[in-house]
Amino acid sequence: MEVIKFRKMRNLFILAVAIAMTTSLSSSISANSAVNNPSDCVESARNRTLDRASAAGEDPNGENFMLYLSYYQAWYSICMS
Amino acid sequence: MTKRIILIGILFSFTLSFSQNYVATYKVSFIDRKDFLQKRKKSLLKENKDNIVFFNKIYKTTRPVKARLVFNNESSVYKVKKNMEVDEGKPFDPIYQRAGADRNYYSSSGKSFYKTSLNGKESYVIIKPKEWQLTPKTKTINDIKCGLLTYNLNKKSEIKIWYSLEHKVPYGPEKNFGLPGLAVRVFDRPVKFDLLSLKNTNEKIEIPQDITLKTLKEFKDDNNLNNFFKK
Repeated sequence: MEVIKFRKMRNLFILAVAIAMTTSLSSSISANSAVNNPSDCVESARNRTLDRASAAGEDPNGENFMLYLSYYQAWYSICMS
Repeated sequence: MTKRIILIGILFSFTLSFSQNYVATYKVSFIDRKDFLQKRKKSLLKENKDNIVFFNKIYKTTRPVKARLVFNNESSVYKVKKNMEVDEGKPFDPIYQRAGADRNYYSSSGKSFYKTSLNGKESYVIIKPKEWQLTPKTKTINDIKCGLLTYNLNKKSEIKIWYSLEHKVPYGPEKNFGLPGLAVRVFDRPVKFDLLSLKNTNEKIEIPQDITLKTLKEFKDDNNLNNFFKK
């Protein structure tokens, strides 16, 4: 009788752990997908590019536009990956 | 008669040297790699600790690249060499991008422009001539007597070019043209271009024909990129 009770308790514990792990995994997936949202990545990549240009004292819309566009695309692709 | 033969000979040799093509090879690298990478890492981490991924993927692995400028008295073509260091899958390589990346730069009949591709569509964008500031400074770099000129990009930075006083052609790497002599060393922060070699070549200079040249504004208008980086 004691053995059956112990087994039941053990199964319940395993089930609880499994549920906890699944919940934590799904919440982490949804958190990641919130970070990797295309519009968020556009915003983030654009802000980072502006920061870089500002640090260099350059206008990102100016002569080095293509360079900053590549920089922006890199941030965007890393954000989305 | 003898004088005429000599004159024809002189004219012939002049025509040969005039039409001779040359290839200048440049090495593009960070002016101060260690200092630049340290500062870049610090500023990226200050923004966000997760930026270490970007730093390791983009900056830590960047290596010097080589670029070729093929020219004669009338025109020039500048291209960056893709090598093992520039990984095809890498989204951005700072030195490769600063060197000119896959944009080809052309100079012909006093006009300069570059070819760029966006979403598979090729465009040719005009480069505005710069008002170079000549300085009285001179020095010898790799046995070539050079003069110095500068161009103020903004309050924070300027382009410095040591140009040859011996090779009177107006070309330099990337968007630098209209110089009093061939560029020997260019400082365009954070990178520098060093002339490694100058040789004769049989390579042809192929300037794209029947193309529409656009200003940067027209190019951006066409691609809905005007004021793309709004503050």
